[in-house]
Amino acid sequence: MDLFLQYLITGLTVGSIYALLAVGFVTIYNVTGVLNLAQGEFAMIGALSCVTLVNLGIPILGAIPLAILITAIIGFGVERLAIYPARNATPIILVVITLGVSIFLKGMGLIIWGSSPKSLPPIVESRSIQFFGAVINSQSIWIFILLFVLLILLYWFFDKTFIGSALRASEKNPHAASLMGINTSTMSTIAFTIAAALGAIAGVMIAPLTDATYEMGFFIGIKGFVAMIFGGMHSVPGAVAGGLLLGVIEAFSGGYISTYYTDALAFGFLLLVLFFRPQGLFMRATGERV
Amino acid sequence: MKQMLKGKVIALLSLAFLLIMAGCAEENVASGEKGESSQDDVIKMGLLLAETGPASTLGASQVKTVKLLQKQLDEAGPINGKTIKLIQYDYETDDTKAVVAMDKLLSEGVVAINAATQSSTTTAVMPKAIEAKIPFLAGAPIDVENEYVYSTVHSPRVIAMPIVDYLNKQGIKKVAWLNAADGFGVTGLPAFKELAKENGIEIVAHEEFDATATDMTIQLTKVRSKDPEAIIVWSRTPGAGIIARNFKALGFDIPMIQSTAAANEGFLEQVKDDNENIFVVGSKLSVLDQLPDSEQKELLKEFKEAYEQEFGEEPDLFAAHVVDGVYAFVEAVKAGNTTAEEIHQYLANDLGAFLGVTGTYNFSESRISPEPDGISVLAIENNTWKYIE
Amino acid sequence: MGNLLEVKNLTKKFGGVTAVNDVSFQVGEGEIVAVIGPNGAGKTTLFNMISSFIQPTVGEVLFKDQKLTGKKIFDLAPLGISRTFQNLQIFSNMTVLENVMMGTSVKLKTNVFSAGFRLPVVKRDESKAYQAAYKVLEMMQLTHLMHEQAGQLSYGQQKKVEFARAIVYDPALIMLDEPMAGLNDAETNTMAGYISDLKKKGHSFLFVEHKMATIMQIADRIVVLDFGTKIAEGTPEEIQKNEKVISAYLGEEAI
Repeated sequence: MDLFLQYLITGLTVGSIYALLAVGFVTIYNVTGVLNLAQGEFAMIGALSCVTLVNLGIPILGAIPLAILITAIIGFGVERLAIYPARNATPIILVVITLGVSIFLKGMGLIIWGSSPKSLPPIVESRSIQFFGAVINSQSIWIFILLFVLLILLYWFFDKTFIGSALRASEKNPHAASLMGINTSTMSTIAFTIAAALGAIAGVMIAPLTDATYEMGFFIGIKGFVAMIFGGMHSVPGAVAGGLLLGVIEAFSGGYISTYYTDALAFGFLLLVLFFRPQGLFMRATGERV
Repeated sequence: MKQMLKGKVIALLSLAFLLIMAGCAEENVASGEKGESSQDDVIKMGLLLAETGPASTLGASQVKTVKLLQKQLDEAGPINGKTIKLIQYDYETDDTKAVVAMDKLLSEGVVAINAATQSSTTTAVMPKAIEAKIPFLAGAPIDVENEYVYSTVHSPRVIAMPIVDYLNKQGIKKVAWLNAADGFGVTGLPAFKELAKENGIEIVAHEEFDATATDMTIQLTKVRSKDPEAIIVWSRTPGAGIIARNFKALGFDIPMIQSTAAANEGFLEQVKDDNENIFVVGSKLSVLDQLPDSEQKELLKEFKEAYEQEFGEEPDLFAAHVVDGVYAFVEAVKAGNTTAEEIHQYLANDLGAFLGVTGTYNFSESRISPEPDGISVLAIENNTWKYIE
Repeated sequence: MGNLLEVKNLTKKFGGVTAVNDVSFQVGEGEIVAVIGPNGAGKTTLFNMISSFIQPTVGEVLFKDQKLTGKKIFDLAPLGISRTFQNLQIFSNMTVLENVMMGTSVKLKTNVFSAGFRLPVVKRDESKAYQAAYKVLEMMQLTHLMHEQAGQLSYGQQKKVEFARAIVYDPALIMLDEPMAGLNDAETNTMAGYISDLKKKGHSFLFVEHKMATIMQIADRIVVLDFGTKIAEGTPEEIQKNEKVISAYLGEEAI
C-alpha cells in the first residue's frame, strides 16, 4: 500500500543523509583510529559558510566548492591544533578532544550565524515528485546520487590507490607504515582534511532540505556515528548501508509502531548489533594474531 | 591521647566559628535591603534576560526594550520624587548563571523582578523571589501558581484560544496534533485538549517529533490516514519550518496552524514562497497596520514606533512581555508604592484591568496569563504576516 | 667510506635504570652481525635506538658516515634501512601482495598530490612496485598466497611476508628482530638461507636472535650483551669459547 512505499522512500531519504555523515566518520577512523565527534559540525560549517557566500552574491556553483574548501582548511586546522599534539594519547582521550572541538565549533557557529535557521538554495530547483502515491523531494534524489558517487570514489581510493593503502596502513600499524617511509603524521592531517570536506559536502546537500542552523550537526552526527557502527567501523560501503538501514528502521518503527519511541527503537537495535555482531552487520569477523 | 583531644577541640571550635560567621552573614542580608528601598529616592526593578547564548535571538529585543524604557523613564523624570532604575543582567542562556545573577539582584535591593527569557530559567530563579516576597513578573511560560508570581506571558491555554476560535469559525471538528518532544512542545496538548472538549473538537491523531530532526514525513503520513480537517503544530524552529515544508510537499489541502514559537522571521524564511494554508498564532504587533483602529492599536503603535525609531527594527512578542512587566511596575510606583510588599499588594488588588502590549491583564482575576486579545491567528501572504478577521 | 653502520657509546637510561650501557660496534657492507644475550640484556632497547624508535640518552649512530640518531622513523627507508618486529607488524587488513608492495613505496616518485590527481607517473610506479614485489614473493615461494589476506596466514607465513616487505626495495641494511622466533626447524633453515643469499648480493644484516645454532652458522660476527653492557664481540668460534659469554648464559656454576 501507499504507506509502505512512503515510509520506505522517506526512510531511504533520511538514511542517505545519515550515510553521508557516516562516510566522513569512517574516513578518519580508517586512517587515524580516532572517532571524530565533531564530524557533524563540519557539515554545519560547510552549510552555513555556503549560505554566507551566497548572501555575499557568489553564485551557488561557486559558493559550494569555496565552502568545501573553507571547511577542509578548518579540518586541517583541527588536526594540527587539537589532534596532532595529543597523538600519543589513548583513544579515549582523543575522542574527548574531538568532543571538545565539536562544542567549540558549535559555539563559534552560534556566535557567527546566530540561532535562526538559514535557507540554502539547491543547485537544481527542487520540486516534490510523486512516485506511485508517495512523495519524494528532488533534492533527496540528488543526495542519493551523490552518495553513490562518493561511495565508489572512496572505495576506489582506499582500496585501489597507493595513497589510500598508505592511509589504511598508517592506522593499522603506524610503526610499520613509518618504516615504509610513510609520514604517518601527514596521513592523519590528510584524513581530517578529507573528512572535513566530506562533511561539508554533506552539509551543503542537506541544507536545502532542512535549512542550516548552528545546532544541525549534533542530530545528524549522532545518526552518522550509529550508521558507522552498523556498518562495521572500517568499511565505507558498510557505513552507507548502515545509514540507509538506520533511516529505514526509524521510518518503519515510527510509521508502524509509534513516533514517540522512534529513537528508543533505533538505539535498541544498535544495542542488539553491539551485543550480537559488534564487528558490524556487513563485515566478516576479523581476528588478530596475538 | 592528648593529641587526639586537642584535634577534636580545634575541629569543634572551627565549626562553631563557621556557624557564627554564617549566621552573621544571613543577618546582614536579612537586615539589609531585601524588599526595602536602599536609597530613599531610587526604586529598582531587576531583570534577567538572555543577551548572549542561543536564546539571545529571543532576548536581544528584550534587552533593547529595557534600554528604551529606561530612556523613556529618565526623560519623564522622577515619579513622586522617586527615580526608577531598571537593572538588567545577562544570564547567557545558562540557568545556573541566572540563579547567581538573581542573588546579585536581590542583594541590590530590587523591589520587583521581571525574568526571564526562557521557561526553564524562569522556573529556576522564581523560588528566590518568592522566598524574598518580591513580586515576580514571569517573562516566559511556566506551570506554577503562587501569590507573588505574575505572568506577562500567554499560557498555553490562552495561546490555544485563538486557534479554537479559528477552528470554530471554519467549522472544523477534527484535528491532528503534532508536537516537538521537548520542554516547550509538550505543553500545548494538555491545554488544547480541555478547550477542544469544551468546543466539541476531536483530536483524531497525535504524533511527536524531534525539533532538530531532518524530516517529519512519517508523522504527517500517519496523521493523514486519520483524515483530519486541520493540523496543529506545537514546536520551535527549525522543526516547525521543516514540518511545514514536508506538509506542503505531501500536498495537504487542509490548514496547518502553528504556535507562537513559529511567530518569527526564521519560520517565515523557512516557508518562503510556499506557505499557502499555513497559519501561525502571533502578536498583533506584527500586523499593526492591518488592524482596525482601537485603543489597543494606539498603544501598540506607540511602542512599535518608539522602538523602531530607537533601533531601526520592529519589536516582537518577547519585547512585549518585558514592556508589560515594566508598565505594571511603573503603575504601582505611580500609585505611591515603594516597597516590595506594597507593590505586590497593589498589583494583586488595586491595579485591575490594564491594557498591555501583549494583551489585556487583570492580575486580580488571573495571574497566570493575559487575555488573548494581543495575539491572533495570522496567515502568511507575500512572505509576511497577514491579519485575518 | 668506512663501515656501513657505526654504533658509538649508545646508552639508554629509563629513570634510575640503565637498560643499555655504552655499547659500541660496527656493521660493514655485506656483513651479518648478530646481537645475542640473555633475556633482559637490553637487545630490544638497543635495536629500538638504532632504528629511531627511541632516542638514546648518550651516544650516536652513524649510517654511511651520516648521523642517524635524531632522525624520524620515516627517514630510515629512504636511507636504505629496514626493520622487522618480534611481534610482527604486517598490515593484516591487506593482502600479501599489497603488504609487499607497500614496502616499495619509498622508491616511488609518487607523493600524495600525484596520487590525488592521478598523474601518469602513478600508473608507471604502480607497475614497477608490482614487479619488484612479485620478484621477492617468487624468491620466497609466496606467490600462491599473493592475494590472501595477510591476517589469515599462519605465523610462519606471516613472518615470511614481513621479511619480504623489508627487503623488497633493496635496502642496504636490514635489521631483524628475532626473525626465527616461532618457526620450526625447516622454516628456520629456509629463513637462514634467504639471509645468506641476500648477503651474497651485498646486503648487510643486523639481527637479534636466540637460536644459537643458526647464528653460529650464518653470522660473520656476534655481539654479546649482558645487563645492557657489551661483554664480548667476535666471530662465532671466538664467542663459543668465551668464558664471560658462557657464564652469562649459564650462570657461574657452569665454569
